[in-house]
Amino acid sequence: MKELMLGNEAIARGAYEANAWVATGYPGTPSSEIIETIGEKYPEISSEWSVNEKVALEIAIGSSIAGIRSLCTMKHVGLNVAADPLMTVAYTGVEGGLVIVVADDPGMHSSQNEQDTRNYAKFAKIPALEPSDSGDAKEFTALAFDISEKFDTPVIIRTLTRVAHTKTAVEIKKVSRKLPPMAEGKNAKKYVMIPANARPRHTIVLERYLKLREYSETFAHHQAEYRGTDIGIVTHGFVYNYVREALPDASVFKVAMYPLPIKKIKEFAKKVKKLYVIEELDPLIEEELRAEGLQFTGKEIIPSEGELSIDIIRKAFGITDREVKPHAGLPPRPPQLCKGCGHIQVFEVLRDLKCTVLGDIGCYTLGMLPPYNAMHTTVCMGASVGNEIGFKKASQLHQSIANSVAVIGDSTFFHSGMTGLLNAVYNRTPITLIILDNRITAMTGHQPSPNTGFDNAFRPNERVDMEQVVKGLGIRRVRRIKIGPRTVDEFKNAVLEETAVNEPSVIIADEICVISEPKMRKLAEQIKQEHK
Amino acid sequence: MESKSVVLCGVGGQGIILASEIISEALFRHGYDVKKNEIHGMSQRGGAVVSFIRFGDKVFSPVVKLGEADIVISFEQLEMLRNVHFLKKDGHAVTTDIKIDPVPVILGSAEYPDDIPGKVKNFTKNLCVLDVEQAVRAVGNLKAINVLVIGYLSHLLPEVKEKIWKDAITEMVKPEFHEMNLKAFELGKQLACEFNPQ
Repeated sequence: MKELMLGNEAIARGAYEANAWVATGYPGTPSSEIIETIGEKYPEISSEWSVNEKVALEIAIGSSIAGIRSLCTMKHVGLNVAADPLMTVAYTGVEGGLVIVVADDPGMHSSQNEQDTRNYAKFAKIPALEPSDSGDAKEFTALAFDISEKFDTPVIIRTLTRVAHTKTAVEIKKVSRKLPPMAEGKNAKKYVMIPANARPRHTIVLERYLKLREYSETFAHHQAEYRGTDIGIVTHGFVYNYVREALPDASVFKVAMYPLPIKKIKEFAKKVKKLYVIEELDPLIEEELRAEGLQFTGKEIIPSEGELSIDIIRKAFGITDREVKPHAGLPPRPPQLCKGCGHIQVFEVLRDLKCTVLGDIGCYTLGMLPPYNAMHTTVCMGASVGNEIGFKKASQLHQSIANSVAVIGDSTFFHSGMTGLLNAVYNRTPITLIILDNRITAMTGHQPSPNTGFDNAFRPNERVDMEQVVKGLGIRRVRRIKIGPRTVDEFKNAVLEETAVNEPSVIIADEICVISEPKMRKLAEQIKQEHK
Repeated sequence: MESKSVVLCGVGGQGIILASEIISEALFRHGYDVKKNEIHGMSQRGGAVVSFIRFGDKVFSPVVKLGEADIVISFEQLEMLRNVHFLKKDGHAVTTDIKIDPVPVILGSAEYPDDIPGKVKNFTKNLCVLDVEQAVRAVGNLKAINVLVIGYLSHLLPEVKEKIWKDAITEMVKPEFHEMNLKAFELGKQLACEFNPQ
């Protein structure tokens, strides 16, 4: 039976069909629907929103060591957070298959950079699979678990916005699932990476990479399609779709797995007169083929930034279509803080107080836009706290305290803001941190966070108390303000007072997300009814 | 058959995503290869939303190429003008007459363009502007506008049986809105018949 599915739904299905039993992740566009789908449709898989990607991967490693096929999902920048365990699990290998899905965002539709995850696979010397549509996404997920166990390695599935968020047809298989026996997990030589153990593992990693190269030559999803012999295109994953429509008469080699199948590509190159490499973002294929001595045209005509498109590829090949220009001079329609969002007041106050605002990642980043213009930095998850510490330190060198604050959302604070706050306490930096507590991960589609009161599948659980966490980290000056039109003055005075004191302080600007509130209320009422 | 393309656009919160879900499901059930793509993330925050549907015997790219769409349907006038260049020469442009001021217009730093239908007609002679007030009087609720445009679209894609459209609608909208939505579907179809006499 065939069904239309998002790439993300297909990956969830693939994990289910491949007998995965643990799935972890942290929300991030365009990866979030994988864990959401597993929570909703495959409840027998133990799935969760972890507090960040590093923890998510460490959990998946733990369950893999216990013999269970484990899936871990994140967006591309999430892998920076999880890079520490990644680089070493590449050495230890796995027991149950370990598959890490990383969703890239060429064109930066909702990201702060457009890093190309294929670099990480190469860096860690582990295989990466690159699906071109939802059908591939399901099949590759299952294959990735097999490869992981066969070669004793974690495997990356590198997806991207146009795969994750495109619905295409997927063949659904009926499968019988069976929980594997629990492994004892006592193999210190393999899993305790002290230098004496890690050195021989590094040798194994290098040998494994050579074996994976050989395997890639046999990987059935690399596709050599011969049409005309004038032009041959080497391309990869999703970009294949653009190439097929932009240059329908060209012969095409589609790369679906890394390390590259060099021999196969050389064979393909021999059969065409002129060879091109069409690659989105970084020239990974290109650099390797150049090192192999192949002659071709690549990044000379293909951009290294942004999404490719049929139009870009046709232009690069000098094909002229009817010129189409958008209507010029139209007012843009940027997204905005939602009508009724309580945190609008925060940005109005910070604007009026002329604060320098060290910002963070979430819907509140929209506070940078008019009419607020009240966010001045956004680097990465949790960066606001460290940035504010550094900014305050600089002002101390000038014998003053800067009129600055850090602004962070609750989910981002739990993700990686807490360590920064501990640092401020430890080093006595007089920062002011405003936590916009809306009790949900709003930007990525309202996934529960540790203080929501529900888990990833909206099953009730213990709500973490933000104020207690802040106090537990050693902050003495913390106040919670129910934020809204009636408390504008109270909030304003709090900012004035806290930015003037010579110790770290926190203001919790408390207001549930206006979009998620009705759903949360309904869930809470349901639970009350059930308890009666 | 060469692939066909439909672009749906408008403002976050207008029901564009649900409409494109229903349309792609109906086309899929008809037997087409279908790819449907949109950029998520901003839909609830009043940003511009564009959804692409491509269908045919075999579809590769889910992203619509400039100047190739057979049909562009907009839920808002300015967004019609913003996306009209996706349309192939004399393709079908359909827009509601709704105007929603974007933030720069609200703040006075930009003006909402005047005479949008006139400007759209520089791109295509096939422009239909749907009178939303009249439609709401007939079907009872602004929320059914997304199914109204599905009704309109169904007239332009006569190969897909009416039952397929209606089944997709009733399976994908909440039961309490079935009657209203089926009314909206019929009205959309009727408006399309009147505008495109064959």
